Amino acid sequence: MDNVNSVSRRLVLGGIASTASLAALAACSPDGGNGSGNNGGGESGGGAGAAPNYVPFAGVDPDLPGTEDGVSPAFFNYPQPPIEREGFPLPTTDDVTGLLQGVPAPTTPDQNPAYEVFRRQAGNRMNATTITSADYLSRYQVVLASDDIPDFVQMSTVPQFPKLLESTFTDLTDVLGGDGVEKYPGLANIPTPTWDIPKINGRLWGIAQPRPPAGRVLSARGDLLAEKGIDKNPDINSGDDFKALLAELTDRGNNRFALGSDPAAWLLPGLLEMMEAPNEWSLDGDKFVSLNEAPQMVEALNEGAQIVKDGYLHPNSFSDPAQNQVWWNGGVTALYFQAFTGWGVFARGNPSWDLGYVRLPKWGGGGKAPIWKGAAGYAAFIAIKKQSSDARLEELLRLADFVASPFGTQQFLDVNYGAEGSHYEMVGGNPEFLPEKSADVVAGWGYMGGNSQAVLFAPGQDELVRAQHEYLTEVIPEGTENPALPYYSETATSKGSSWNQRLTDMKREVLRGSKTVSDWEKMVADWKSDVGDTIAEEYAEAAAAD
Amino acid sequence: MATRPLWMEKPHPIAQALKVALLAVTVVVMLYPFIHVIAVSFSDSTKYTPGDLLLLPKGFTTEAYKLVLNGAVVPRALLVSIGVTVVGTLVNMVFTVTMAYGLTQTKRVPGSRFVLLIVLFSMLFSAGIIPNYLLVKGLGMIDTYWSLIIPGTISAFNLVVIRNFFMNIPEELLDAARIDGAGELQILGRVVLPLSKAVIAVIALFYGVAHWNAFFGAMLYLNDTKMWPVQLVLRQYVLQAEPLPGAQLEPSQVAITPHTVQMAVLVLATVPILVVYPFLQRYFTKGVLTGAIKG
Repeated sequence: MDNVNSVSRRLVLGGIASTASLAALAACSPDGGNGSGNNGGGESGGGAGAAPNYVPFAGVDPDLPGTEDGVSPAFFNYPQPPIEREGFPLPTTDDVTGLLQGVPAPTTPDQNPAYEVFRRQAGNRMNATTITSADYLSRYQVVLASDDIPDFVQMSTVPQFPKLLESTFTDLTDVLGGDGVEKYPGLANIPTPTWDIPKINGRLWGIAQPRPPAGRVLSARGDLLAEKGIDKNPDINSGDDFKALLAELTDRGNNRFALGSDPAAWLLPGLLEMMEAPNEWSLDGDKFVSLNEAPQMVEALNEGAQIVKDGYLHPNSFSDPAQNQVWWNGGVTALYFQAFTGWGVFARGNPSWDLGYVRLPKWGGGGKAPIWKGAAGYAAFIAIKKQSSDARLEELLRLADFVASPFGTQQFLDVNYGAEGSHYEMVGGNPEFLPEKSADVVAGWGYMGGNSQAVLFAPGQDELVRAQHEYLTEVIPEGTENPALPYYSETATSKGSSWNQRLTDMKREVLRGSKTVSDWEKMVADWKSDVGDTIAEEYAEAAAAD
Repeated sequence: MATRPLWMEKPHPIAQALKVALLAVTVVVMLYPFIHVIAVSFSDSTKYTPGDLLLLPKGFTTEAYKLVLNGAVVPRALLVSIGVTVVGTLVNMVFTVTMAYGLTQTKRVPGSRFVLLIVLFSMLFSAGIIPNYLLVKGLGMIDTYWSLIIPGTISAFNLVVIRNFFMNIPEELLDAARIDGAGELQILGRVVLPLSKAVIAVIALFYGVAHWNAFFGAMLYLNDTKMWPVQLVLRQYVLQAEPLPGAQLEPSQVAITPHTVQMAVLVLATVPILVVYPFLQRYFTKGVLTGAIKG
């Protein structure tokens, strides 16, 4: 009987074993398909390797420079003519497969000129299944449980993550570490902090998409603020100023509110930033201390509950926070907490909004609050399945290098804009999507080191580009790091996610006024004794081994 | 026109007005979402703001439908859904009806009670997605349409419903057919099924709607997006604008497909299955009344 098609006792037992070992997958990382951001350090050996060298692409001169700590280079125009990278199109290679996050293009790949261009340049069909991040985990589970693993897999942290990586995926430390990466100029253009994302136990297990580590930004609709006579970048200097701004932007009778997002996920961290609380974890000597235990958490919960009580948030913020973007689009809310990367997209898509931002102040006054820095890229990195030979691995890394083509090259346009004439046109020397075509470009692959989110570029909107660059230049150097971000904790991954859910639910209840801060403190004590102390110890061990 | 029986009093005008009002509210609550979705799908995406409540399109246009139907993905997905629904329902009905009939013959089929117990067991405990995936993969059905049909060939609930219906058919009728020389298949085809049109129609509709609405199996088993049914395509369009809880929207999610296009896909995904209902309605009525006036 054909082995592939046989349903044997071994298969069924294997399935049961897989189910057992992957049972915790369903309750995977708290950020679901987004990966974890828990990287590096940890229990198993292998030894730390050198990080890949950072060699910024020399072919273009940014109008505003980037920095090594994560400020993105900015461009007012696309370099003319676009630079043709050497060695492209790549030689034809055996087709690769991938499992990636993303929304499939409305036009099927075989009829889509964007895919035609992409595949021609890659010399490979680059077959990938793309699934939206909300559904990704289900597909990821079954693929990991089978022995049918694609060449490229977008990873999400699961229990026993280091063992999974060691057994199935390629350790890239010795291939890309140090000057090894310089064979691949696109990958060498990825800033050093981004390589922390795929680093587990000191070894390099994949490639992440670089982004500035700018955390969250509180965007403001300048058009709505102007109606109230407020500048689009309001200069506020204390917690009281912040509350006064929220009050001014709220008009419940006319269905207008200052904010609309899930208060526990967005307002509370904003308040904590203003109160200069630690970014998730802090270091007391060699000891890791959780934000849950910080005195600022109690103060932020009290202040947040008061803000909710005062009615400055949309009344459905607790029950239907997914509508946040709808309220923001419809002008129901004037302020919008979001990731830094969303700022440019909204500003480019809605020039009439005259988008600004609120630089959050220290709660007690005395200057602006330091932001909480995030990972320097998208946390769900892409790992490469173990390959049959070094030559084959090199072919795959060439494909990754193509996807990571730097801004300014023709290949960057091929990856990110599709086919000229069909998907975009060069208008005044800058690429501009044709109507309804931005969703029709190649899906998913950009997460493998794609350069599009690591540069500031908005043709015709120089003021926006300057504002974003100025913002990054101001906030990144003084941002608060999360000292646990580079490390992996098995307890945080296996037991921590269900606890995180409980803690978040409790925060929500306290903010809503149905539970008290003392309920929160009791829960934190339980969390500490059950998992919190163990997680802190695991981080400390990982840091000591690093 | 139906006349009021002599013994029934004329209803009070206020009671009648209340009934009309209640029915009107119910109709509005049921119909409004449909009207809204249709109105948005025919609206101009530059004039419609998500969150607007519409009865009529805002800036009437068929652009969304043109975009969807010219894009090749949705028309193909509709054909896939129709094919899977038709073939899948046929397969479901053949296997469910024959098994249900077999399980009614407890005296003739040895072990039928045990088999029924196994069927009932599967209603209470399911295997989970990973064993199911491994089974489908082991059977060589990954990337085939059979992966959407075979794993759910027999629904235990539907099987029990049909079996119970068959059990109510008088045994004497079947014995009479046997005396006339009919085999079991002939009895099933010529005696049992003609007497069971109502339940067959209802169960076929259950299966059909389930196939039409299914997306999860396709997401797990089909790598080739060309094979995706319309519900999975629709889900991808709608979900792209939904951030994960507590997470932020991806830049690619912000540049979402316009709501008008999402609603056009929604209409196209809903209308075909709605069209089936009127043809089956008379069987529903009959099904409800079956046995109601037996003495």
